[in-house]
Amino acid sequence: MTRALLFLLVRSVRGRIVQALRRLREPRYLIGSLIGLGWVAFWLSSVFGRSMVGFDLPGDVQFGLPSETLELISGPLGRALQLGIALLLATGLTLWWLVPLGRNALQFSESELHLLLPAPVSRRCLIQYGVLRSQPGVLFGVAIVTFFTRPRGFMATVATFAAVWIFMSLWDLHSKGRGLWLARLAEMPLGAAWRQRLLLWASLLAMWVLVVAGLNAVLADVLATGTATVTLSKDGLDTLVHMASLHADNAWAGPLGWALTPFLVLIAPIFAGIGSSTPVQLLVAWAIPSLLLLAHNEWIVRAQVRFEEAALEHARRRSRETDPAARLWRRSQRRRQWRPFPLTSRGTPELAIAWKNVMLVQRLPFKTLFAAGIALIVLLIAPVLSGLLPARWVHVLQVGGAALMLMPPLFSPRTLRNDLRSDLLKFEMIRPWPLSGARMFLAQVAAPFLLIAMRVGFGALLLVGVDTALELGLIDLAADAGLAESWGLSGVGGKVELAAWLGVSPLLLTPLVVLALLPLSLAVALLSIGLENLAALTFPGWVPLGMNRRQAASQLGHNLLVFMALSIALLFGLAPGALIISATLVTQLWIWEIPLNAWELPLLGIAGALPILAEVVAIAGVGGSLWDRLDPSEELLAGSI
Amino acid sequence: MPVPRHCLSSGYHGPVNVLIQIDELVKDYAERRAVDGLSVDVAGGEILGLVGPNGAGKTTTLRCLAGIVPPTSGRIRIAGHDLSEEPVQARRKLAFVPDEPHLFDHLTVADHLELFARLYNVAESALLAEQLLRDNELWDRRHAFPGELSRGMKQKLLLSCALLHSPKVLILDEPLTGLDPSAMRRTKRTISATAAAGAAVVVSSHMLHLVEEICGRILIINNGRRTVAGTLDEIRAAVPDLSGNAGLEEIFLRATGLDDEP
Repeated sequence: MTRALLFLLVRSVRGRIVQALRRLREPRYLIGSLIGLGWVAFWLSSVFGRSMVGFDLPGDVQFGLPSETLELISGPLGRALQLGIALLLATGLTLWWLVPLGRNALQFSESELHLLLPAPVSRRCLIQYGVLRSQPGVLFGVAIVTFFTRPRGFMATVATFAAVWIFMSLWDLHSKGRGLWLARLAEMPLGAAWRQRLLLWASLLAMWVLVVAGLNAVLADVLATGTATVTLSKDGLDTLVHMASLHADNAWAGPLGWALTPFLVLIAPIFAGIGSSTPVQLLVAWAIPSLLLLAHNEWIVRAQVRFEEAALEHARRRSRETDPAARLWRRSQRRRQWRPFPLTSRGTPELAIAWKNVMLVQRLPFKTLFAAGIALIVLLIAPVLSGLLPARWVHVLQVGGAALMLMPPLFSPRTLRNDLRSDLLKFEMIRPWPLSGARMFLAQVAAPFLLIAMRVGFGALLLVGVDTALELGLIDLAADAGLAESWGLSGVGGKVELAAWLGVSPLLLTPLVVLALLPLSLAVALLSIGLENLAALTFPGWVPLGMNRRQAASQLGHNLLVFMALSIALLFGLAPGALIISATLVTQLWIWEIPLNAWELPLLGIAGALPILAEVVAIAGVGGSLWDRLDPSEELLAGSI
Repeated sequence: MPVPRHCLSSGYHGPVNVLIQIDELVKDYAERRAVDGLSVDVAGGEILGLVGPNGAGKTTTLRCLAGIVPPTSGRIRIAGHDLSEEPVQARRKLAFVPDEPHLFDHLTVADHLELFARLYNVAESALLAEQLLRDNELWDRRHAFPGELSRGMKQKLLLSCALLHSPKVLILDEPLTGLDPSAMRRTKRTISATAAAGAAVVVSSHMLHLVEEICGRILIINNGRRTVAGTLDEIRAAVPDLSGNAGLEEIFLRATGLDDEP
């Protein structure tokens, strides 16, 4: 790389650091940084055994991975865990190569492209610059990951840092290589491009034939030996760990291990760093991934593709920070006129903002969605009712329903970004709208909440529907107890006893539990969305804005920090609700010794949801006041006076 | 009804309706003062042209006026409502068309007008929206997404959205950028018609011929400060060494000290 490009790289990093430091002149960023640093100091204090802030921590206070977990990971569960991660990587990589989305090729900014492409710099240098450009971000992410995994001792820290760096750099280079390969396909004659695609698909298919054969062998192994009864005790867990270790050893040496070898090699340095490996073992673990890293670099630097166009398109998309508009252009004239719900021109303006933001995700009318949801539930249950599928599938549907009811409030607010996180980029457009701050904040929260509420509602209906079919005897589980018997397990049992203990018929138990969980689930969703929006309003310079949250390896550290901060805030936010529910149960069951009745559960759910809702109201107040006073000149409107 | 200062100074005593009042507006950024004690009134029916060199503080002034950025100090009243004390009431009366047409990429042209109709509670909005789209030659593209429109079309859509609720105060930042000559003429007519209907209009532009053509009064600012203001004749009289028929370009260069030609 030429000195000029190196100069540009170093100055860009310096510029970003200076910009970040300048931001600290604003009190909110300074306070946010101090809180973050305080937390880091507290964390580090536990690493070094002695507090850096001047006091000793109790001996049993631990952060990061506890030593027992580390022993399990580096010991009996190591191979099972490595196989699991390798399988996930294989699945992710397959989907990533099959679905040509997110062409994360060389990431040049528009100005870099316009200034560097006409400059007298060799093509190899330019691509190398594009590769190295993401390294500061990757190194930051590696430091954050290393920090949170908290290796014990200096050597372990270095080993973990190096292992994570190799892995993330490979991820970064592989994504660039894939982007360039996709761009190259677009340049090739149609026949040649199809040959390349077929070659890729054949390789993936061969790998998956081996993986499926391996998984089948593991399943047969588990079924053949899985007659032991596992109880919820230390002995039971030890048995489970022993069984998992045994099956993992067999799988490791069998076709699954062979099929996943490339992925096992990739994660070997990380596991070597966690375990008590000798320097020689570490070097051996690092050898192949390091060679792969060099090979990836050569693959990219020698790429013959006209990367300029791909990079320019990427830069344009990044500068717009919105969904690629081309996705919308393919919509038919009829679909363009779909609306989630009709919007009249008179009434509360908040509804207009929710209407607009829902359309950022989907345009299908709500009534169509509702009908489709009901039809889907019927479609899912019908094969079990008609005997096309074994009755045990109801458990899968029950777990699916429960997961849909409980997971979206926790995770969807991170991915659904159709609120202030998108609208702040249109600040000039939305700021003059005639709404007070609090109303604007609530209007923005409404759209993701509506979409999450629909998912939660679908999960609840599925759960209640399946359970009602079971209780009414439409599905006969007893007729399909074969698998459960071979395992020596007694099915899901205990529900009849639980219903009797709670004083209701089994038919009513699940609907009442669902009624208890619904308000809690929805309140958690509101709190989570509220916190995300409050963070975006308070720190627009820190929180990633736009619908397409950047997923590149170089963004991992930044995303991880934001995720950690918001997760901790959410945890604190949920505490009052959990406290109220616990206090009520303790008082009733242990102090007053009044038995719990199932009809109390919905009330308990509402009691737990109320403090969370009160927090949401408070957050809306704070968010509204921030909106009214927000001066986005530096973060959002920089560059024009 | 308050009377604008420039009317008092020029001896005007007729009935006037001040819709924009800016008093001692100051806006500081981290390291510099973008607007420095600017005061100006704009009456209903009047078009004020805001001109100045790059970095003079025009966009910041307009953003403060539209309530997009809060001023460091000073007071802004829109149709009698203080922008910091009654922001919602003030915003109901105003419309802002920024220089960069940042539209919602996922909404069609028609969606944008539906959205604005509800935001501003516009009665009979469908008819009005159709009329505006037809006037701006967007009716045939009403189901198009912004990504499928040219810059000029986006600009026209923004103007249509701004005019939908018949604002009392219209603020335009570089309204003619990206428009073809026919659209320019139409936009100029629209701006004049809006003022003729009683609205106060502020137009910022580097196209001095536009300012000269449609603005009744001109405010030249430099380094965030008012350099000179008034009608073209008043400015000619105020700036020394200007010929009686000097155009705005000459006045601008002289007033801002940018006239470095021999």
